Amino acid sequence: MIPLLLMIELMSRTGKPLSKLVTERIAAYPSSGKVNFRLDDPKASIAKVIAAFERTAFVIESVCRNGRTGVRLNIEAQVNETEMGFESVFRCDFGALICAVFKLHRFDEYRTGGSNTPLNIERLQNCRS
Amino acid sequence: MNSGNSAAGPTFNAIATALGQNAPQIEFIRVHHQPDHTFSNGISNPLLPENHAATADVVMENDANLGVAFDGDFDRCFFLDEKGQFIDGEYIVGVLADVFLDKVPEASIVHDPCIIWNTQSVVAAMSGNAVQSKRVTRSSNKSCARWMQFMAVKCRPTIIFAILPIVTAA
Repeated sequence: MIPLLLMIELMSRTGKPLSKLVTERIAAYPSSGKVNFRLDDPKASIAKVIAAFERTAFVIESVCRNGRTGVRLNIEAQVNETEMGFESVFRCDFGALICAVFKLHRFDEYRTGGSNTPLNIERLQNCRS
Repeated sequence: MNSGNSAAGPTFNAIATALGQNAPQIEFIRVHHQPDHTFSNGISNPLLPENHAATADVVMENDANLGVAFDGDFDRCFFLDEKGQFIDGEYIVGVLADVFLDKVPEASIVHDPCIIWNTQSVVAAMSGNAVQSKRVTRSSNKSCARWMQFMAVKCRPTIIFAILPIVTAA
């Protein structure tokens, strides 16, 4: 309830709707949304993804838990006006990353937590080529 | 205000009653408000895209300013903007960090390790101190696999500690 009250307070004080409060932030620091995988061998998959991206990604962090097959992937980017948009980055690097996992493991389910960067199987499969 | 048929409903009623005396201009529209142990509208997980419409549709139909949805055990809350657009938790954390730093200048804001750059940017712009927790905090309830974020605000000499269950990047 506290976040709700704080949000109402902020909107009242600034006179801005929530969309205005976050639009610039989403544009400046876009994220992939949450992508869940259920994998046979999470550790091996995570290692492969890290190996594939450790030279190009800015930061790779991994939290691994024993005994769980679920893996959640979060990707974020820093974008400025002169750089390639996140949409392009998403289609190339992120899509390729997902596909790298795709090829090796069963893909039971995925979820994305936000609709600012819509994610669908078709789109990911297009990234294979 | 989608309570997900959880304990959020009666809790919110008490707050709304108190709030109403001071802020009568705020109108709340209640959705799935009555606690229901059978969860006849499904166990509420507002994070799932297929569940966004239950709140988003009401926001749009009523031309509301804000949508908020709680999960089934009332430990996470989610926001939708005035267009019914679900806003990812990582950006809500940034907004709330801004609010806290406005109240408590130079406060330390603890954030979890997933999706951090926006939060760090907001905190730096407000001359706050962003502190990344070592690991994602997680409920011990395995069946729910809930993820929570704690945001702490600390100032001297009095320590104010606020624990806010917020949906996060996790």
